[in-house]
Amino acid sequence: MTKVLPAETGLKVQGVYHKYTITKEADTNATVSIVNKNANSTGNIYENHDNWDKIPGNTKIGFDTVTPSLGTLWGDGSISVDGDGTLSDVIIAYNYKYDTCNIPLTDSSCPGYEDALMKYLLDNGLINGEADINDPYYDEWVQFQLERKTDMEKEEEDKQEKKDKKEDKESQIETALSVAGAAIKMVDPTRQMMMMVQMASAGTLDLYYGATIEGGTYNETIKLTDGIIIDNFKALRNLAQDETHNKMVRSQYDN
Amino acid sequence: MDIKTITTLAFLMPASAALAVDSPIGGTVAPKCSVWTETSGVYGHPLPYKLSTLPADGGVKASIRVDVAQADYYKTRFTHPASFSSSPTLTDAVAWTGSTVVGQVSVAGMSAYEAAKVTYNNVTEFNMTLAGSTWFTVSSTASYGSTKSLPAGNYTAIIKAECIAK
Repeated sequence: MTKVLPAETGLKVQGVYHKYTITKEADTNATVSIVNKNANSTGNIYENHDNWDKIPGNTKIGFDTVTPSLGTLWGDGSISVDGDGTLSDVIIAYNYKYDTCNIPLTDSSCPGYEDALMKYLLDNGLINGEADINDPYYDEWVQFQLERKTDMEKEEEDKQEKKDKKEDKESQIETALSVAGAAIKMVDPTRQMMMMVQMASAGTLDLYYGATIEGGTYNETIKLTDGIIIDNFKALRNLAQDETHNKMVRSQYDN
Repeated sequence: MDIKTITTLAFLMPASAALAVDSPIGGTVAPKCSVWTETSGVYGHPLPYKLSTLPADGGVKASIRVDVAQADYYKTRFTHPASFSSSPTLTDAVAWTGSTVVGQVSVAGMSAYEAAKVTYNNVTEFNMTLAGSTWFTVSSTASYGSTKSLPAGNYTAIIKAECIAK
């Protein structure tokens, strides 16, 4: 079976598919057996027997689910007819699964890869002793360390950059708040309401709008008793003074 | 007097609330027999008057799989075509032939279905005595007006496959 199944560690067979055509007469007997030997002991790890006694030949398709077992336990397989019949168009296929990270060292993305790599290096004296530069894992280890260092530096830079950005943002907000204090007061609905209340309070708008004018007739109160209107000398004197003043002002420009 | 009345009511109310309860029992019946078309048939046109699904005539036989989960509870019935479901206008009679045979089996014993099948008119019945999958192959041939040329166009005929409880 080593030629059939991949040589992956931990591979387990979990099913066997078969398809074959048996040619036989209906009145003859035949048994078709599909068998896999057990690679580690005597006997078979898988057996399937189809009884074709006294029935005509046909094409059979089947899939057997088996308890998953390691592929290394599966020995050579065979299909044979016991009786009168011949087989043709035979297909036997094995269904298997395996964990690609069964050996973590196979892929750096596997969980436990670093620990496994470290163990390997320690076991082979590649860390404390002199490293074998010809070892394929040595280069990988060096590369891993370089990448790890680069990653740490990058993380540090990202952290610092994030911190700077945060501080800058806080500073901008503070500045905005300092100049926007008045604006905040203006748009604050509570404050606006208080302002309206104050404007409408007694002594301002209320008195003006609340004044009451009584109705009725308002008669003339000034009377001309003797029919003579006396000149207002005081006013005339003021007018004379105004004329004199004007002349004095104009004289500055006329000369 | 008032206290007695209230006490009596308090006992009666829980008793009347639990007097009748409708307690439903639910259940789902899953199909134990199912029919699937694995390969749709195709008519070849070997002669002007003939349509045939035989590979020798350029056609493809239909393959229908029947899955039986419970042995000996069902029979399957296949009705091969006796008319076109869609075709150009035909002015003459069409002679139909067809057959249904066991194609492949998932259990060797199903090979005996073929010898035990019952055929009448254009119907073939199989007794599904074993659980598993059985592939049936259905063929169909149509000959138009003895040897008259078929009008050009698309032709479709339907195979009826049923799973019937015994």
